Amino acid sequence: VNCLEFKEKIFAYLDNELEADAARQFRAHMAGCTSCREEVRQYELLQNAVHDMPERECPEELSQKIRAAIEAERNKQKVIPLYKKPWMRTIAAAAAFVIFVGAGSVIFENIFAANSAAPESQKSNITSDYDIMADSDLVEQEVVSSSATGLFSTAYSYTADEVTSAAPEIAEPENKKDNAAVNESLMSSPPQEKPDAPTSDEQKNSLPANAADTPVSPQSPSELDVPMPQAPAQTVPASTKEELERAKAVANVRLQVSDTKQACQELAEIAKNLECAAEINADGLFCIELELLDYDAAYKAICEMKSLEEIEKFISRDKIGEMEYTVLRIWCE
Amino acid sequence: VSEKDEALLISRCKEGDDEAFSLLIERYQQKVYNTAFRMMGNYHDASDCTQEVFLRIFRSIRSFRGESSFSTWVYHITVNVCKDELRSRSRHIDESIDEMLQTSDGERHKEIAADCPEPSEIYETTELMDRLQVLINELDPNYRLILLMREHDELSYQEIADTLGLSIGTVKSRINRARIALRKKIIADGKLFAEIERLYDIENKGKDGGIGELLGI
Repeated sequence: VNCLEFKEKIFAYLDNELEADAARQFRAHMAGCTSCREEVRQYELLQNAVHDMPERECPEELSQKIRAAIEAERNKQKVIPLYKKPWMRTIAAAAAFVIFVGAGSVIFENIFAANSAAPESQKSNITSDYDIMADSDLVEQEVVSSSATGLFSTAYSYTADEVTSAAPEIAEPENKKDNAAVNESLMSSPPQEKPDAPTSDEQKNSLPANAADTPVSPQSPSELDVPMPQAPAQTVPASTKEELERAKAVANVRLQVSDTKQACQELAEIAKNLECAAEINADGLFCIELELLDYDAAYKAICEMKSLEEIEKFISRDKIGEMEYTVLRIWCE
Repeated sequence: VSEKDEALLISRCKEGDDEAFSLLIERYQQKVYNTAFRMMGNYHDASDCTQEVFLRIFRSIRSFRGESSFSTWVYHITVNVCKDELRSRSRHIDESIDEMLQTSDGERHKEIAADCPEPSEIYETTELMDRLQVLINELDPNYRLILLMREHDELSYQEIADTLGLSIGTVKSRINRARIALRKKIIADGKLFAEIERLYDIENKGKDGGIGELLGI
């Protein structure tokens, strides 16, 4: 072994990766070569020193900042659950399906957060608190302004279990049947109530079962159909159009309600039929979280709902650590 | 902390237990802060990243499935947050990785000075180790992190490869480049090697306690 060959093997030696033979040759050379011996020695010292570098104390002010940030996040995420079905104990994993409703636009956001390790966290009954969304104008404003920008960028991670029940249980909805139909039409294809060649307006009229049975404000849905910028390059394939229209109609049922409490009840009803949690988050956006058995089931359900082959383009995935979000965004024409 | 305790704590955090999460912060803040400090190289950025890490943990703890250990998961998030931050600040990480990939004979050595700690920060504790830290901070972030993961945190090549999404070959190559770069810096520093040597000679000979005592740890 000459010095050049020796130097090539230094790190393998330091990492104990040399074969016995090679290690013996390596040591033999080291014994007779001062400069190589010195080099190895330096690397060893370096290893030791880096290993022994002391940990820094986390500064107290940072510690406080972290707590404050978490507290702020906690308040921000204190979504108001309108309804939440007791979670199925057998759920191995959960997937969240979030619908954001915008005037003239419908945006679905899917967040699949596999959650197999938390069956216990899934038992809580969530009650609702109307106070936080007392101002329905605000809600509508938020929705309108959101749709004006055309898209949402945030994927909402759900915190339903965190919400403490500070308010009365939501009233049992009365029009289960109709909402069941809504549920069907959302969840499966072909849906039971599938109007022929639905147009946007027909859809709105065909689904008002929900709205009609409840004291809905006279506000026209069109009031909410403010013009919005066309979402960039969102050509909705014909095959998914019906689904989109249906979703839009369902969404509008809720948006027609100007009365906040009423809106909550209606959302609750739909959520119940979907076996999901419907919530209004602090940003004033309606959303529905749909819990599914597992990621694959969730994905499949979404695909079935959306005429499979077009689905990919709407789905983007992001990974943070072990967690994988799938975000599905759909813009209506 | 036993594994059982930890599992219990995590499951309480998942249920939204505020107190449990506070405890979790307490338990991991130093580790996260140190990792962030090593990646970011200064107190200010390390603080921001540490805060962001805990926000991410808070938002996503329900998706932690226990497939890896919790601390590995936290490490992973920390590295991602810091990388995002470095990336958003400049295209530095991507660029340097790209450049490395372009060379045929393995990775090209590349050093870019990173932010150094505030001068007041440097000398207030154990001077020797702080000077070492300064030199380490001058390494390219890609080298710095990987070297510390290996030599300080004692992660295996495989663990590093998994955490950073690199091949084992790249990990080894980068660690070795980092070692070479750091040794050069220490030699250039002049006295540092001699001082480190003295420190460890004292330890080896068993005089006056070990290095821990010298460092006051």
